[in-house]
Amino acid sequence: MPGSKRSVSFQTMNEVSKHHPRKKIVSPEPDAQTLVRNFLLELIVYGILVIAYFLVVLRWLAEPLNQLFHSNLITYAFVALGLMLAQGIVLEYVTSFLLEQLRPEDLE
Amino acid sequence: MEFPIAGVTVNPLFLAGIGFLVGILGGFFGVGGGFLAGPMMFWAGVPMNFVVGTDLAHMTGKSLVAARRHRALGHVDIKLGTLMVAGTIPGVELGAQVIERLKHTGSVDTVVGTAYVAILLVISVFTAWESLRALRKKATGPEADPLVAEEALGVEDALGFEGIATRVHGISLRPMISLPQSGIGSISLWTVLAVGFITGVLAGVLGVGGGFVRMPMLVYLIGVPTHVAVGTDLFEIVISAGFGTVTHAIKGNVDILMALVMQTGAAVGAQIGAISTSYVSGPKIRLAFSVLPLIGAVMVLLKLTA
Repeated sequence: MPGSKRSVSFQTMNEVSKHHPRKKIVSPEPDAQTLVRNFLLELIVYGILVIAYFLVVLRWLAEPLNQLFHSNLITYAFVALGLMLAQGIVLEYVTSFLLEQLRPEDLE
Repeated sequence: MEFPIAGVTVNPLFLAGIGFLVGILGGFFGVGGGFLAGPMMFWAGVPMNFVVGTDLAHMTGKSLVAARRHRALGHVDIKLGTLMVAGTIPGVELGAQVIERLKHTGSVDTVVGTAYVAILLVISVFTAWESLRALRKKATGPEADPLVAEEALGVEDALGFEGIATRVHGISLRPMISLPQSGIGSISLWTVLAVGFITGVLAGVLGVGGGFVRMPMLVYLIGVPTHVAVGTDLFEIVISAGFGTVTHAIKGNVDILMALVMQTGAAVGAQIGAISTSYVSGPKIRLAFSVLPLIGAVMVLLKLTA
């Protein structure tokens, strides 16, 4: 009978599931500890970058950019946009790379 | 530190701090953060014309960092963002013309100020009400109605009020397009362009970047999941703020050194904000977002009454 066949089948399934319980699929849980650690790590990385940036890069850039601002505003406008975009990409790459290398999960 | 272009001396750590603060807001909510950065820069002694242009420049870099991070998380719908920009640009132009007309009548401050406060209050109250409703819906379990893209994005989201988005999806004005990244099977191209246009008009009239208005519109009118709305909004800000940077810089209103310093703080804030969205459900993001327009409205009210 198809009915009994089905009940046997369900019984078998129940037996199997008793011995091999299905792993519960868990959606990514909020892990506050990892979040805080990533946050602190990024702060340290950026802190070093920012200080180095203030000391070295801005000293080199200040005068040429000031001269460009007073001599050719159109070129200055596009240089400004280019610098913003370039710095954004570089900062994002550097921190992503450092975070990947340091692997915060392994620091526990 | 002296910034020779703007001719002012400002502590660079203070500027980086402002950047960091608005970076977190930008990465998390998809807003430019001009409502906060502008007054703080002005308070630090930066001339007003440089405040506007420099803020736009730093917004471009910060939004780029946040948008790239959101893209890595699968939270940017480039197709939708590009189409919205096409509608937004003429909208901003129309908004600017409306302002010019109002200037002639001499009532620009009152009209724009009142409209600004009213619109921001409506957005704030509606977003808070809807997100609380969505949170209650999710808590009840079986009634929860997750959005299509929820599983694909690996984040939680739900809407407490889907009536408008459902009606908008029902408009069958050809050509119809699909937005798979946002989990939208079919929507009229004209609807997307119109929403972009309305956002542009409001941004042009109110003189804001548009994040306040665009993010809720993407969620409630087009039906985009919150996380994708935040990422797509940032993608749009990169283009609009980049355009604004060039036009303001040509007028001599951008101190790029100051913007670069601000961006060092903003970059880390934007990344933290963007990453944090993965740990928070859509309704909670919207509930927290509902406070921002309220702050903006209070600031304008104070300015109007001063």
